[in-house]
Amino acid sequence: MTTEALPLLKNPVATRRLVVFACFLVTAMTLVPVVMMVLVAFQSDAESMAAQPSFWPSSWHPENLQRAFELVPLGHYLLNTIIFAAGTTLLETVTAALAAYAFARLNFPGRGWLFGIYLATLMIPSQVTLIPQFILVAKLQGIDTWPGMILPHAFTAIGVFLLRQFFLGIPRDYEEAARLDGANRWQAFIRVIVPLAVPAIATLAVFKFIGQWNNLLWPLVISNSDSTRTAAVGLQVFQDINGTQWNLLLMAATITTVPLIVLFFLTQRWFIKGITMSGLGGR
Amino acid sequence: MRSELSRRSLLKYTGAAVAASGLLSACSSRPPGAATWSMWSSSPAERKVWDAFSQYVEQQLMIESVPTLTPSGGYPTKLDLQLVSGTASLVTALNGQLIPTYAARGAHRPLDDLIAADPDFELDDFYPASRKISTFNHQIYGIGFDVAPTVLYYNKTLLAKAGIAAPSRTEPMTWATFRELAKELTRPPDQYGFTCSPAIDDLVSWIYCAGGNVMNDDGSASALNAPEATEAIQFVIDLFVKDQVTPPISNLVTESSLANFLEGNVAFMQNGPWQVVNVRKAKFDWDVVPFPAGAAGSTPRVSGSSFAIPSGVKGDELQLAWKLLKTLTSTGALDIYAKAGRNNPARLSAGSAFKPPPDNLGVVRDILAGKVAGGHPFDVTTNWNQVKQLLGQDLPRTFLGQVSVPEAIEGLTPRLDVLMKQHQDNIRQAEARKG
Amino acid sequence: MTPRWRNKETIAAWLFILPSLIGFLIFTAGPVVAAGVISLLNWNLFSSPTFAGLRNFARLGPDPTFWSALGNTAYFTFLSVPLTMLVSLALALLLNQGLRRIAVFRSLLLLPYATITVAVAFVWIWLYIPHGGLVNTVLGWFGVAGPAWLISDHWAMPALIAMSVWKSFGFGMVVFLAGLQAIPQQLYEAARVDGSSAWQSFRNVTVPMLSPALFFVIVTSIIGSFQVFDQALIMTNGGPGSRTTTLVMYIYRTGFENYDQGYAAAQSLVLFGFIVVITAAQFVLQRRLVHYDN
Repeated sequence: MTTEALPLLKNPVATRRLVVFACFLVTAMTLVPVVMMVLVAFQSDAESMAAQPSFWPSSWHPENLQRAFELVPLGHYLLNTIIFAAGTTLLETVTAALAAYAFARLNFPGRGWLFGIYLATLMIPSQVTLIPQFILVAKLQGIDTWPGMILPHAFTAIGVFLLRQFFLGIPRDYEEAARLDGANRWQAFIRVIVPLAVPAIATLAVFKFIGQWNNLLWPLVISNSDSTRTAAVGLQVFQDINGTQWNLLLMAATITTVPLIVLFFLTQRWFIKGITMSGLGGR
Repeated sequence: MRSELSRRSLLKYTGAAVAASGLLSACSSRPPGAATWSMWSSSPAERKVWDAFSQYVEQQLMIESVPTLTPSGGYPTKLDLQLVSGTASLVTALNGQLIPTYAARGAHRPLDDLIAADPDFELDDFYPASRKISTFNHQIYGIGFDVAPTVLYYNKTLLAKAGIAAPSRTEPMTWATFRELAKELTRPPDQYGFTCSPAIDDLVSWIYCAGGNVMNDDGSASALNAPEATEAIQFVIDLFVKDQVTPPISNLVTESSLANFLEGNVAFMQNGPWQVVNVRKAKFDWDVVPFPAGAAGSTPRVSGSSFAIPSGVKGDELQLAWKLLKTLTSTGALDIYAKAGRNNPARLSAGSAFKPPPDNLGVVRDILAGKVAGGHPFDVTTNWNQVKQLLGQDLPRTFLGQVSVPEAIEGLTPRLDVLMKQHQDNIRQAEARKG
Repeated sequence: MTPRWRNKETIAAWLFILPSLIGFLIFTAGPVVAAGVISLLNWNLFSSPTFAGLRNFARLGPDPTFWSALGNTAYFTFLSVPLTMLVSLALALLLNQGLRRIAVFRSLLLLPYATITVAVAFVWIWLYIPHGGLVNTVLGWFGVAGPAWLISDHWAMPALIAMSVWKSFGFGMVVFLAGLQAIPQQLYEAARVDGSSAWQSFRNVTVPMLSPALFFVIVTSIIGSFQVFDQALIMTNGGPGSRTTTLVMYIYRTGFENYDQGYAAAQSLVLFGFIVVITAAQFVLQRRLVHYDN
């Protein structure tokens, strides 16, 4: 059930029309760069490599789609990207949910300090932790392996932070009711907290997935062979020292974005959950 | 019940941890005895070349060849990480611009002892420019696989239409002649006389031809403020700002002289022969001639890349690495490189990379062999990344006409001097490590 | 009764935290500690490091590039974060008007966030081309002569900021939307019954109920904006001059191009210090401003 945050005009029909119009307008303006990306992807080699590529293609080249797949094993790379993004997302979401519950609900000595340490790691740029992480993975013989690629990026603090904030907003009444019924902490977590937290968990999962889907540097340095190479690294193929093939690069980038769009649509219902209680706010 | 649960979960987690560490160790360590080497490679065409190299290595050495090909943008970062973690290949490709950088910091080992102990290896078969580029502090750190001088491409169709005779195939034109031609052929916005990259990489060719350099002879101070260098830079900037013979610059990052030239409305382009592969896509007739000659002659930048051996390679692995290095730079391998037509091989005995059409491509080899015009190996420091950054920060504004050349040079000279001092420090530290 | 309870609670807490903690300590916290150690060394990656003590930190003071990078980063943060929050909130409010097609719009509006930076940054370069790029063309329709954007001294950073806001508003929008959807209808009805205007109900119902989400988004946005890198590298490479050189770019160059690992680590610790102070301030403020239901 959606709730209205702002009744704008007196006339609800006019308000609705205005809102819909505003949505269309805003979306159209926001998507101009994305549209251009797709348009250039269909341009000819010459047109796209001009000093200033035109917005609208003067000739359409749908064969660029096939060419992109031919020049790079894009299908295989996309599969690898799914494995990488899904692996990190799953691991982080599950472990973060468990840990966030402890931080939000359970009292234990050192809780504040530990959470602070988690947060602190968010404030160090990844360029500086890249070398220690790589050396660590190398020592564990993880170079060019799936665990080596997935594990270092599956335990970041952002998940714990987001879910802890969310859990803090859930009223204790529900858990207390469950405990009075004899449930232990684990059951309270699984049966009460998690269902209420689905929007937050879904948010974390989707954004983590997107972030790792587009992660370029880590897969680039960790994978040495096509068996683990991801699509983001594959895009680099179109950018060599002798010049960039814009149309093919953007075609591959467009292809790489499509699975994400599919993901958005598939996960809609977890975001727009019809709950009338707790979310990131609420009673 | 809770305690049971916790025991169960504990077992679950321990099991997972054991499995994870098992997975980690089970996979992908370097297959023992394999010939591992790393190279940059982006396009599939490049990949084919390196696959052919790989097959050649396997034929010659009778062991598995395991190349690690990385897109060129990420190659240095990945190489650095591999070197620091001890997971680098036995042989790694190095861009000539970075050889002093790696050598001075002890990342790669000198090859003089291996060369001396190997009577079959003919160092003389490599072009002098390639040998110079691969040398640091009087020691050889790499064996070249490609090397080429900057040349002048010209749009034959455009020149013919304007009724201008094609430039001499072997005699470089003078700067004055070049400037006149460029001005004559400029009719903005339909036609322009010249295009080059607004960066030190292209400026340096003009500086060398004028008899100057970025730093002084012993590399201890900036030489950009010397008259030769300043005049050269002023000449090029004038082409952009005063004579306006170049297409307008819309973005310094994506500005591409190749894209400008391929539009078909620019008469001359300064670029390396490695662009021949791309220029062949042009819809007009074109050819190359030697670079315009300045006061010191036609001595544009000569650049190349080499294969090197990381310092950590020792014992039996070192023997294998040396064999692999020789094979990768052998005449047979470099013939493969030449056939691909992507750049000029570093050996005299290897075939020619640039076969007609157009007619005059062979001049590249002649220039390297010293028969025609000349060249100047790219002089770089042990901190060339920083020098490039500094020059890339301050010089482009002169191309845009936002700052005058004397102002820009005056502004950057003190900082360039500091970088030269650091370059000297790096050399001193490298010396200390040797002893 | 109480001590035993607390013991069980502590054990339970550790069991819940353990999966995350093990991975976190090994793969996230460990490398951060390593970076801290590196800041005390002189290390060029390839030769053995030597101990440098606090010398790397002392070098920061007289380094003009460091301070200009810090200034650029602050400029970027203090403009882009409020703008991004504003856009995210406005769009979340807009989408929350009971639309039927909310799913479609929400997915479409997430596209900027979902496109890969290395590709879409180039599109933005083309949009920003001074003569003929879309931005200046459209400005021309309104009679405004657009600046040279990415090659202009004064407009390069605003151009980057605009692109970054565009790229990152999606995250806040989704978070806020989730928060808005959870606000019970009753509260608005109660406010309406009390005679509140739209603005008053926004101030008295929406904002307090949304405050945990606002807090989360502000903290993560600030942390994120201090670490902006990819688009600056691609679109301006830190130029013109050093006008768009952010601190993280300088750190990357120091570490990976200049091979001065200790100095790069020291810089990142100083950056860390700044972010800690700002974040701590936000946490202190949250006690007063953020409403959790307890």
